[in-house]
Amino acid sequence: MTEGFLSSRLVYLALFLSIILTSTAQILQKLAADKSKQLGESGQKQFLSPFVLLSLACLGLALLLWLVVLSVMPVSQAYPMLSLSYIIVMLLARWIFKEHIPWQRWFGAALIMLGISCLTGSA
Amino acid sequence: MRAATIYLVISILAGACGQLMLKAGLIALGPLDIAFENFKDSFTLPSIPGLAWIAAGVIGYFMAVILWVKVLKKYPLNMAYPLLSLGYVVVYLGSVWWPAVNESFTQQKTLGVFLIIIGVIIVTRFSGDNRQHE
Repeated sequence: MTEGFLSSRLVYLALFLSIILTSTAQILQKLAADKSKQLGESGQKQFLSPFVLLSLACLGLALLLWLVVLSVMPVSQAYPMLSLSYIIVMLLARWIFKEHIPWQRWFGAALIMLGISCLTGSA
Repeated sequence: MRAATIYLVISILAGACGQLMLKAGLIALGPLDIAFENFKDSFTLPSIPGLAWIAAGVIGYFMAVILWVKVLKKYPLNMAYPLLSLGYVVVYLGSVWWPAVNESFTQQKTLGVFLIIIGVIIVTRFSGDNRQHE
């Protein structure tokens, strides 16, 4: 990175926010799924669900921040960090939805993150 | 196959195809000039195929989200979300195979694909309660 101290810190902030917004979108989509299951199986209602719209807004904002990040940071460095969202979503799922997570699944997620690093790393 | 599994596969494919079509569209458009001074002077109409690919890519993305909500009705989030990483595999294969995108095939990327697939198998194998508790 060629930018100064402050702006490189801002890039990390943008990356952090992008990861958080991506993860939040998943939580909102799960809320939308639970809500529509409560209301019964009608696809039409879920299409306009405020949770879905909010999740799309989160994804849109995450995408804009991601473009800011990519304008300064190599994708081989940024993309593996974005995959932290796998761990964050699993933690949030356990915390908010009380999902049971077997330990093997954490291991599987770690392998996936390693695979993503190989796939996007330019070494 | 259960309906939710079919939604999962189509959602991943729609997201990955969306990604590839966005890339093809951006290649067709050429480098984007965001700086405004240059924008005014060198403004040319963007290519129609480029815009069409981008529109198709955005629609693919949107479809992926809508189908994903259907997937989440059946599966717990902590199991379903890691499976989205299969999209990376589809994007990699597509980016090598599709001449419009034309990216390189390397041993390291292929190793990454295998690690992701093994990770996904582990995530789905050791379940306990794959069905959402009511």
